[in-house]
Amino acid sequence: MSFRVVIVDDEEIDRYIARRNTQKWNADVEVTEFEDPDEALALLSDEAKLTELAAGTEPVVLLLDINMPQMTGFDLLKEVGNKLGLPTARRLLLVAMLTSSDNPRDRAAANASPLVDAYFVKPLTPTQLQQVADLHAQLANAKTP
Amino acid sequence: MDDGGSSDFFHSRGLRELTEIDFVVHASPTPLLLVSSTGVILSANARIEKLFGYPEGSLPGQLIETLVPKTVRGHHAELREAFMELPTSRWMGTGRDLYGVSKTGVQIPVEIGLDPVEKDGERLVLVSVLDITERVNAERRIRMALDAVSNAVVMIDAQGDIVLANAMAGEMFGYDPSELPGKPIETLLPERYRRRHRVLRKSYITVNRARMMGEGKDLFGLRSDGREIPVEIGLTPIQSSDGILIMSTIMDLTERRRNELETQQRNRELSVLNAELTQFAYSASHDLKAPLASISGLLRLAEEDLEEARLDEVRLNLQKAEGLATSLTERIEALLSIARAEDRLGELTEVDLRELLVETWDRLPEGPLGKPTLRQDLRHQGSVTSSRPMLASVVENLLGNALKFADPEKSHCEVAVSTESVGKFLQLTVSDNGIGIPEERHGEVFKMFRRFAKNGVPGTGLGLALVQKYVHVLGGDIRFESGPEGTTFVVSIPHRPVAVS
Repeated sequence: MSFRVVIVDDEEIDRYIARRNTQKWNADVEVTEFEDPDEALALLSDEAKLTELAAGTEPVVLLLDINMPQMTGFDLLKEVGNKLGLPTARRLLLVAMLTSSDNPRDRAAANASPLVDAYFVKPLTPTQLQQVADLHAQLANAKTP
Repeated sequence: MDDGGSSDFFHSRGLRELTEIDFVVHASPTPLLLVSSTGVILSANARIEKLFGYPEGSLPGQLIETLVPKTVRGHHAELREAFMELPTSRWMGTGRDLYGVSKTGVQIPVEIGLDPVEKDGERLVLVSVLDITERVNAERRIRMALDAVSNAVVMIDAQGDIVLANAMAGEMFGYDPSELPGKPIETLLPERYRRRHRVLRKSYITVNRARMMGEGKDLFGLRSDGREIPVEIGLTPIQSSDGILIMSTIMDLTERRRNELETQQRNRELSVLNAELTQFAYSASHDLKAPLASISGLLRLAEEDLEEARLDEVRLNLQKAEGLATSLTERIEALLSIARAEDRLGELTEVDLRELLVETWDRLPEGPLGKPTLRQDLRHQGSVTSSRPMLASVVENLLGNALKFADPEKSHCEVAVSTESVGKFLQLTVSDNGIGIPEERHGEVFKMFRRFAKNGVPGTGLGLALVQKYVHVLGGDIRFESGPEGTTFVVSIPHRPVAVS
């Protein structure tokens, strides 16, 4: 089963690496990229737009950077949770933090967030992508009775 | 002599018979004198002559004042006459230190007993003199020992009145030690404890064993100047001929408390510093690792592309990797510059500011809106002596930021630099009409690894941290104002170097 991927990362090169790896892993995966977390928020906090993007493949996989100049990935998630409500956000999104930070403070924040499903240290590997796919399959099965 | 008559006289008048007295004077083991109402020594025994160093038989006939110290001699006659008006058996000068003076002028501490007697209708006084030199010396030795003790020692009686206080007690509580005896011990306590203390000390007398006062509680003493001091007090009851006395040893804890507070404060500062250092290490490692992660990601893709012979893609990614490696090198250098700023002050030279500004501006790359003419308004007076490399780095970062963070929504990019002299300081102002720094991030501007721009302009996140560090090392200060209309940085550094700590 395929899924949709949204990448939010201010570093162009890192988005490129994540996109290439994702598409290599599964050529059918559609990738949407955001450099600006504010623009990403406009999509991620809109249930109709997200549902449209998912096109039946819910949840949408979000590869989310932590350290960005305008706002952190965690700030972005908090906004999404506030706007969508947690149950909707959890139903529509599978969130993997994708960062070069292994700061325990960031890991703790990821653990504490009700929306974060995985924490990956860059660069993205095929193993990590397989984990995402497995997780996606689980969630998708649980949601389609 | 009529014995019975003498006996009657003795009993009826309460006075001793003279013959008996005369005998007693000479037989007494105590030094004795018989003195007339006019102060003439009538009779003196061998012991008293020996005590005061007079040849036997030489005292009778002399005035009693001969044996009185010079300081008292002047008014002694008056006291003597007053005594004769209402003679009673008593000790002389109770509570005062009395001295007799020997033939050679040596003062001898004494206690003096006075007993009125009568001979042939004349009132006489029998004076007994106790040599208390030994006792006084012993007391003096104890006193010296007490005064040598580094803690305050205060002794009180069962009524709570101070009977003894050593020199340290005087110093600690701000009194002359001689002022303290006779005062209630509560004088040395803050008002709020006095009532309780009166009850507690009465109970303590019944407990009657040595212990620390108020263990586990903070105790305070009150100085004569009203200042309170933290103290620790040890109590020891002493059974004496005057009843129970309580000896307290008092230690001033002011110094210890201050040290404790300082230690606590230092520990707190250290743990804050440690936490900051840990966070710094994570931030630094993140910002140094991020480009490396990207490089290894790019190289992995390049390998795949090579296998599939997509050479253009390979070339592109290798270029990107190289760019990342270069910027990583810059970042590491900037970080080292900050860490070593103090060591790098180096040579101080006269800096031509106009030339420095022009040269720096020419070297800077264009920003998103190109590179306008630098507007200059230099009004500082006199020369500037400073570290040229540091000043160059400050100017380069500020002008570079002004170009990099130009606002594409505006028609053109404006950068202006001005200077003026304010007292001994050179004030350098760099302003732009760029995108500005979001107000909620103003507190982080000079922190390391912080980037605010939304326009994707690459940066080390270290530029302004380095600028601030350099400005501080140069003995100056930096502040800024920023909003959507642009940003202004104001650097203030001494025209001439000041001693840098």
